[in-house]
Amino acid sequence: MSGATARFSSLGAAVPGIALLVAFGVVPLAVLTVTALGLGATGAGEEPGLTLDNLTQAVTSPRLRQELVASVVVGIGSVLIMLVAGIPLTLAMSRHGGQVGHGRLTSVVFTLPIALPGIVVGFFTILMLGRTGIFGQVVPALGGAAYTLPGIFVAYVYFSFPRVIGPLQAAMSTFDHSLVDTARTLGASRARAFVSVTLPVVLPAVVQVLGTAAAVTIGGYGTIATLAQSERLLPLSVADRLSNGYQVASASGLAVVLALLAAGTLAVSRLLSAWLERRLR
Amino acid sequence: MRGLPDTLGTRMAVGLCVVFVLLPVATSVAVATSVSSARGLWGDGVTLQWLVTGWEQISPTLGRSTAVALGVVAANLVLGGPLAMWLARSPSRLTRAVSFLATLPLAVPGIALSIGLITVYPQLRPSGLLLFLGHVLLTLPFTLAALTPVLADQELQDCENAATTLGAAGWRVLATVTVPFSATALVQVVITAFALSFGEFNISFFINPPAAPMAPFALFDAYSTQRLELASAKTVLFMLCLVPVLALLVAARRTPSTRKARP
Repeated sequence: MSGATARFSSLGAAVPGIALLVAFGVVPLAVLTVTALGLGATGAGEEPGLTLDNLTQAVTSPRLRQELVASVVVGIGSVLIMLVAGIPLTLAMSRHGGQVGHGRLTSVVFTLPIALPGIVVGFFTILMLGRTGIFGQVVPALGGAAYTLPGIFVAYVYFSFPRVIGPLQAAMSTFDHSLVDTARTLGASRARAFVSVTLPVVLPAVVQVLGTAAAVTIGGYGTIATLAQSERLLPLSVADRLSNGYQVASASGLAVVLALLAAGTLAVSRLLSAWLERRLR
Repeated sequence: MRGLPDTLGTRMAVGLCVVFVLLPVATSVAVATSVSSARGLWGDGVTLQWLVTGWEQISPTLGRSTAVALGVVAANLVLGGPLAMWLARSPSRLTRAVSFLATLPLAVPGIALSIGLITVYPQLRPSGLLLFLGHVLLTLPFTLAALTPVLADQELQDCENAATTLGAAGWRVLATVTVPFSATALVQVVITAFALSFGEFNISFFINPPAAPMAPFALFDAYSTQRLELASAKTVLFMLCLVPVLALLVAARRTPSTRKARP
């Protein structure tokens, strides 16, 4: 950056945007944490006063612990499934580029679901795997699968599809395929070429995509809200606490746990990605 | 490389993914036009009645969501433009701190943010202002991510400097150099902010003023209380509202970028 001029750049003009980030981002999160610690607003049957119970209930209550584990497993697992399918797919798409169908149209179709809220993804799952879903009408065993853990997994895979494929496509577009060709010419097997040539190059980007997408799936409420009948994930309990007698401190505690899970996943993936980048270059 | 089998395999894999994405969309259209979908798609015949009823019930909320989303787009350009400019061109410890703040709405789940928002600003809730600001907060990080790298581009700054040296006024440089140069990013901002706000559910569910539900909220209501055909019809109508946005997306990709060729 030349630094001589920073044309059009002024802190004054940036202030309204910064103020919004602070007033409606930082302040509510700070208050949420204070409320979670029992030092802020309280609701029905909640004692004011410093406590960690609102946070630790996520681990101490067996039911909540189960929801917490399920949230992490579904959130990260669905993104991992998408990665296993998405890495070879986007690599191949970047290699064969124009030869594979209508590249532009495909890429629009692959990004389309990002505009759909989680509730629509949940509803799609009901149409496919619900009690009268089209798969259930053909294979009766699949009727109602939408509300079971495997069905919820399928929903979250659909939800993470555009969030994984889009960034992967961008990351793979600059991949130098001649590296793999060279390794193969020198006698490396497909698997060997993938592990020792391709993976080190793409891994930092892959880890980052995993973290970013998993943060969204872990924190998402819409999909599970639509599919909640027998299985439960943590966001449901956050909402329930609020709607049952407005237990705001308890809801805030669970919300903080959920936020730490999502933001933690994101932060760990960024750090890991930066570390891999340094290690592998 | 040994092209043919690889290309065929890739083509099949891409095809499978297209089916995975589009099958539920097609099914919702089929269910929405079936008299009774429990007897198989179009089992008892084809009808448009569900779509008509669905439209009567959901059109006010679609209108409201569209208005809010357009406002959110405007706020993103007005607030996000100058902020991205400052982040891109005045690197300092302060800009780094603000960049970090801007990632918070991405990292923190919407339901956590909304509980904080309703605790701090309950008085802004009935008017819908809190919902609007929540949507702006949620979309702003995407705007900054799209605009900041473009505005930091040295070539753009050189062009601006050349124009200024030649005597162009500041507003003219902005209008004839900066905006055209960053057109692709600006279109991306408009599309992203609109689509995210229009489909936003997590914040809307908690902050929604009950008297004035947003479209995703109305959909959720339909999913929990109405028959599959009517819920499908409303989903189809909701998705139709996103078609202009997607068309814009396709058009933006088709326009050859003036500078950097798309990979």
